[in-house]
Amino acid sequence: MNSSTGSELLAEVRKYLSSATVADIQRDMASSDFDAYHGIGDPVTEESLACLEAPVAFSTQLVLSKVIAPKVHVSIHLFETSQSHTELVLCAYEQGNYEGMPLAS
Amino acid sequence: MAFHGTHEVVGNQIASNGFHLPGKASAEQRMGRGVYFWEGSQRAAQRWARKHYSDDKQCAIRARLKLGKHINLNILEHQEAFSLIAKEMLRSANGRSVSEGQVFNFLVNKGWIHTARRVHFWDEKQQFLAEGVDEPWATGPSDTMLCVYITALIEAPCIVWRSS
Repeated sequence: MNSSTGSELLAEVRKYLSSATVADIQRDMASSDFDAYHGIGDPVTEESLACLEAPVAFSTQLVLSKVIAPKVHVSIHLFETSQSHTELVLCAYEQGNYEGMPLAS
Repeated sequence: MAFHGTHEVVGNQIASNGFHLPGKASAEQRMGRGVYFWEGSQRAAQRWARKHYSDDKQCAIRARLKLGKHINLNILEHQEAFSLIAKEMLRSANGRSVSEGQVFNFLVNKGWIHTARRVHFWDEKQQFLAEGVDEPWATGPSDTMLCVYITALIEAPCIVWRSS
């Protein structure tokens, strides 16, 4: 399997957003099956995106908060920061909060 | 190598004619309109097929994938790209909700990605219990899911397992 490097996608997105208007984005949404795919996949919210930007993958974070957080105070993860580097991440949780976010990471 | 779980009838069609993108949206397409694989895990493909088809006529297909322009949601720069677009989609949606499948489709439609990768966790606690894992804090079974948006990137598909 081969793939492009990590920074190319981010550069393309930033370039697009630097000039795109709301009308441009709405047009691109409409032409990418927006209506047909309504509700498919986890909902995107400001909160979920904050999780995504935290150094734990979104899906991992959801499982951790729903399943593990009620039972433990902290968790440790290996996290890919790039295609060649992995870092150890420590997350602390609010005890008993099933929908809780990591308190620190 | 990557593995795709499906019904045996569909598997036979794929073995003869190759993969086709799904014609319509379904709840399973959490990363948008594409063909879904399990990275390096035939077991995951078998597990998925068993879960979705109950008539004991499931199969697993092995294929070689080219990733092309790729998004990996375990990589920070890719998470940032996904998040930037998703935020702008939310702001532009006039109060309508936005889901991850729609964001992936947007990235595909702009020509920015050909494939996507993310970790998949199997049904959280219910799945743990079904498998006899009684420690609720156990890091549950997970596999890496790959979604391919251009079928030309899928090479040499062949059936490697049949349940019947």
